[in-house]
Amino acid sequence: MRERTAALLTPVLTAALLLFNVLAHLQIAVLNGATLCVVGLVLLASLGAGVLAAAGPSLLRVGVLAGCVVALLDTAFPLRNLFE
Amino acid sequence: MHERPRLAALHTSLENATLFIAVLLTGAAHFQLLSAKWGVAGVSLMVIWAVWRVRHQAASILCVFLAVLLLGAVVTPPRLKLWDTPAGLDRIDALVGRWERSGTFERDLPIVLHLVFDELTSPGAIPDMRGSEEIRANFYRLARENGFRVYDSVFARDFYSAISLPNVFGPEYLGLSEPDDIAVEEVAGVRDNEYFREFERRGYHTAVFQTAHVDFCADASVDLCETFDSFDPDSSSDDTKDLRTRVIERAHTMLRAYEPSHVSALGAVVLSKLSMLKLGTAGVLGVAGRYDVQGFPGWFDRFSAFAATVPRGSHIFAHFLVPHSPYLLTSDCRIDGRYDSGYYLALRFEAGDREARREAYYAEYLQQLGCVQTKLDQLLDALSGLDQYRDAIIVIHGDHGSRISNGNVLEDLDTRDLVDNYGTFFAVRGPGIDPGIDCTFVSLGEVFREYFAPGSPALTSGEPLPVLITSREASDDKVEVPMPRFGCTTDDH
Repeated sequence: MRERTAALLTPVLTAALLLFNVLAHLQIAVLNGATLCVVGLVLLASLGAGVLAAAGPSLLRVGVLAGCVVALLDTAFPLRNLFE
Repeated sequence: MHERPRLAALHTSLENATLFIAVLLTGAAHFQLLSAKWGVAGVSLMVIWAVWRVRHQAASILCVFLAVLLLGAVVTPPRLKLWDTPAGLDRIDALVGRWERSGTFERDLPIVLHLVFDELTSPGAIPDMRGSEEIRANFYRLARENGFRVYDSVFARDFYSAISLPNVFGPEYLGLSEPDDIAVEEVAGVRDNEYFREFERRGYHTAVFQTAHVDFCADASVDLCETFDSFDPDSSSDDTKDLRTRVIERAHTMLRAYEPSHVSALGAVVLSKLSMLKLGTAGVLGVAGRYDVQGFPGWFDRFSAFAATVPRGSHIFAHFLVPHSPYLLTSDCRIDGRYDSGYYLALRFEAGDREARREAYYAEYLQQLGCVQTKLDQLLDALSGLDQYRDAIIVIHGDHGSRISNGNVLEDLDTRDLVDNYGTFFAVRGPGIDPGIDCTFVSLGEVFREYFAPGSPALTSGEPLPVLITSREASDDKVEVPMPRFGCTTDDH
């Protein structure tokens, strides 16, 4: 897989995973105007981050990718609890 | 190796320095030498370091990893739910059918409608300021036009609903002066609900409408239980709200599923900026900073439609988390406020600034209280023409005061703070109850017991039970403190 394509997809996949988890866990209806708006906005923002990562310099790419990893870690094992 | 040796050495030094700083921050936070946010910064730096080391493969590795995770999530339960359960009136119709089929109703028994509004203060406890006269007058109008006996000088005995209400319906209902020692951190169900059990013995069927804050459905005497929608995403579709409000609500609900996390906290900040509502620290202890205010108007309308259809023999109990902070509602029930609360003024503001802050918070609180009055008026209007409500017993009360005060520790409180913390609303209507303004100075548990407990004696003119307040001098235990008189019970009011 080409590096830039992967960088584009990573934030989108991260957002999709987080959205899927919360929608399934809370059993929020997907085909609902409000839910679709939230999902659309989140995916759009993640796509923006992906475009930045794919088109930008490697430092920016690393920043975006690291952000995705931290977000996953933070939601899976709340970092807030680690030091309190 | 295309990089020049000096540049490569600089890269290596930077990488090593980043890792060193990351380990240093994480270690210092771990040993509590630095705050937690530095620890998170350390972990983030470690992640950046690791991603940088494999920067040419990182995206591909992450992509494959995420794709596998996503696939795993999709094929394992719980699955996505596509459509809402019936919303709005459909949902109420279903509820009405369910309720009426839930048993044989004793049609000889008058309906009992019991409404608890969290943080609803008594008219006598509202400070004199701009707008307060109108609010007071509305409460007194409630007495005049709808036949209520409105108490001006009632107070709760505890600062927290999760302690105050279980005690009113438990030990104090039985006439015990010593309430249960409930830790507020253990916010849980009201399991010893002697009041509900008494109404079950009388032949009533009890329906509960609640928030997730205090679980009144924990007692076996409850026949139907509904949790309000801002805590229940399954039922959050409400056609009466505009799309923007629904999107904000939905996004908040989704973010809160990830509490406690920085993703959730950061998301809440971004969302608040985008929705132009300020973020504060207002929240409800025990439910991870959740609140129920924005859902109130829609839910109250839904509740009112249900209440108007119940048969005689019904005992309907509802707990609404309003006018509880944050103060988001205007008096005509539009969302237009701030995510903020007026609690703990002594901890947050300089002494010279506190009175102005108290008044400013009260101004917002009174707006929200105005919304409660608007909705109450609509409900009572709707019920006034219904035959099954001709002899209904309706009780409306709070659980403690507005809590727009210096704090909740005895040594921080003056007389005004006590009235702000504990002064609470109580009004009752029913056969044999004289309407009007009642100046009896009494605790919530005592006045509730007078009307709703079997064989309870009428209130005497003696001193009411004391309030219970945490004291530093008593090693943070609670001490009994006589409540100062307020409202029309005082001579100078």
